[in-house]
Amino acid sequence: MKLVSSLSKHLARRQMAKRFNACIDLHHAALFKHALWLVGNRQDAEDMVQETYYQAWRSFPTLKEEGSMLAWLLTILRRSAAREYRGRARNKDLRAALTAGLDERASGIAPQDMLDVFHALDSLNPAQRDTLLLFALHGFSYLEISAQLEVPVGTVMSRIARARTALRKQLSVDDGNVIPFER
Amino acid sequence: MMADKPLQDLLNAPRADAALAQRIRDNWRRQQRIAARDGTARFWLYGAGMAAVALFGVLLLWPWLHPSPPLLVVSARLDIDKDAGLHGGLSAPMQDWLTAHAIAPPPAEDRVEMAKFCNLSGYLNAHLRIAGARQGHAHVFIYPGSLPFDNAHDGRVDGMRWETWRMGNAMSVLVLYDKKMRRQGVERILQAMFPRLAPRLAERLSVQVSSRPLPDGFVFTKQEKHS
Repeated sequence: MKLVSSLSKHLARRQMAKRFNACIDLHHAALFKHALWLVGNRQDAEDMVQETYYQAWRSFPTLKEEGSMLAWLLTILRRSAAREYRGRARNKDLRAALTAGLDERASGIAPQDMLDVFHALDSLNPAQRDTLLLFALHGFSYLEISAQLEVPVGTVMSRIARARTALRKQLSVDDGNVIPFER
Repeated sequence: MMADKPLQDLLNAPRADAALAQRIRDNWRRQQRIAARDGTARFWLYGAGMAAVALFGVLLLWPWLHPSPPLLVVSARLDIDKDAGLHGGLSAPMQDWLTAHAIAPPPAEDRVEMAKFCNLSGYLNAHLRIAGARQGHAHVFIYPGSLPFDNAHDGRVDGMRWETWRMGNAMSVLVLYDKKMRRQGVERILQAMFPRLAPRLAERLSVQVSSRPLPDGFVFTKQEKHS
């Protein structure tokens, strides 16, 4: 009986590890980008992602809805890992950090644009920055962001609107066509 | 300067290192190993802690599990050592005292080496040192009244066994005997000196020898014990 119980535990654990492995493959890039836009340093961003996965594994058995995996990981990244890296030197080798592996010709994205956006994001307050990244980087809806950040939908909308205004101002763009926020 | 490029594309432009997923996986596995090792260490630490607590508990309970002998017994043991050099047999005053209290002398084969009165914690006792018929010594302390034995019946003190006997409130007997003295020898002495103790001696012994109930007025003898 004990053997059966320990065997089923072992199998459940293996199954969980398999799911977690898939979760690493699926979401590590998105987490890395989020972290990178927060800290502007590849090494710190990678450390943040590793720390996020470590903490995620510890509470993985309690995760019920796997559909919301990315949202859950981002919450961990924001709450736990980001706390560690807040206030650290963010702009070290910023250009290299943001543009590593970037094929400028194929993507049509200029490194300077990325630097400008980083500085513009950096000038936002953390709540606005988080909200904007969830919306523009990961493509979450207002409702999903509202649930993740535990704030009313109206707050999400106003944060995004303010962030957009601030970004436009920072980037000195006034044609209103820079950021396609409307979905 | 950024022109019409959508922000979403731009935010998605940075590329994660190709080996990042593998590094995350390696780190995760290493942390699992460390956690498992820590778990084992915690288990042993917990075990050691529990053992220490258990040991402390045993030490704490030791006095209750192994009560020290009553003060009277300790006094008697000290008196035995103090009078070890005395001899003189059964003196006439002691013989008179025993007679006055209806106590018979020990059997002839068990020789009284020394008899004196001694003070045990404020109680005046008669102390008889009796050499066993074969070997060993028994020390019989007799008090014509009730001695406070704190409900203790027997035990060991400093290399000697001790037993207490009480005959109502009229008389208390404390016997200490060394390792060479056999218990049967002690019983024979007590039986001879205190015939009233015989049924109770037999009763104590019946637990060891037989569960057969003893008839009223039964007088224990050596032959019957072996029957």
